[in-house]
Amino acid sequence: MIPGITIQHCLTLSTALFCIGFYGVLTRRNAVMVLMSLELMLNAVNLNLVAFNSFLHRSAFTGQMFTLFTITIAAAEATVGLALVVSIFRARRSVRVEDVDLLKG
Amino acid sequence: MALTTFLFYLTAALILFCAVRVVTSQHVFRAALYLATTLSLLAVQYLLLHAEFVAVVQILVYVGAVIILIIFAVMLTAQIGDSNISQTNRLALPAALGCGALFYALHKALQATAWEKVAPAAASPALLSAKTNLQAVGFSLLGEYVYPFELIALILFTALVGAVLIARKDPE
Repeated sequence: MIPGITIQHCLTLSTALFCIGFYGVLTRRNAVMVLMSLELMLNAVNLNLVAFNSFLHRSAFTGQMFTLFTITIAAAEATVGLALVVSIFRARRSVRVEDVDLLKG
Repeated sequence: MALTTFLFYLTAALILFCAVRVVTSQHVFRAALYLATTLSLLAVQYLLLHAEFVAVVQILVYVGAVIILIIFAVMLTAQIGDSNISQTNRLALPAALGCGALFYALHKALQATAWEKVAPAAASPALLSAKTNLQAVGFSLLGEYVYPFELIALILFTALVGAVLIARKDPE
């Protein structure tokens, strides 16, 4: 393993990444930017899973398998999400999250 | 300090810097480029953690495909590039405080956990005979995880068809 690096170091990094992504999801007004922050959060979780795999379960590959599946789901999510953004832009001429308020009373 | 330890700290610092730039940058295109850098640096982290196949998939899928999709969306939605409108809503300060508190709580929790007491999972015999990471991933994907693997192909296909259907122009 990496000398001097424990699982706490990796988990702290991924926690920080997750919180930064969460901040982006909460504050961004642009739908594409929200999706980008969401990708950051998903990647933090992936780093978590790989760290668990490599520090705690070296001989089983569960963590890496989960990461591969998460990456695939994230790609599918990005595809559908960006298609929705393009579609909303066509209909309303805006990609700002607060402009999509058709269901607001 | 060993080279790998130095690399870990260097990439960790760069990842955090680029991630902060992703959520604070005023310009959408610049934020997308910072996101690409963050994702590439995460691949280096995976390499350091001996997950070579995941690192390659990260580069191929994220930097190769997802970033391209995002940049396409940025270009298709023209008004996005406008940098003089504010990109954050008025909840920025409460959100920053909340996320700081969340980080503090999670950090405390993971420091308090006794990780050395976690029992390692049992390895399957096929994995023990694998010589490289790639071989072990292959054995797992088409052995133990073959049903999720097939299912994920179906999900990916559905998402692809759905995306084409949603994004296409309505026939006049």
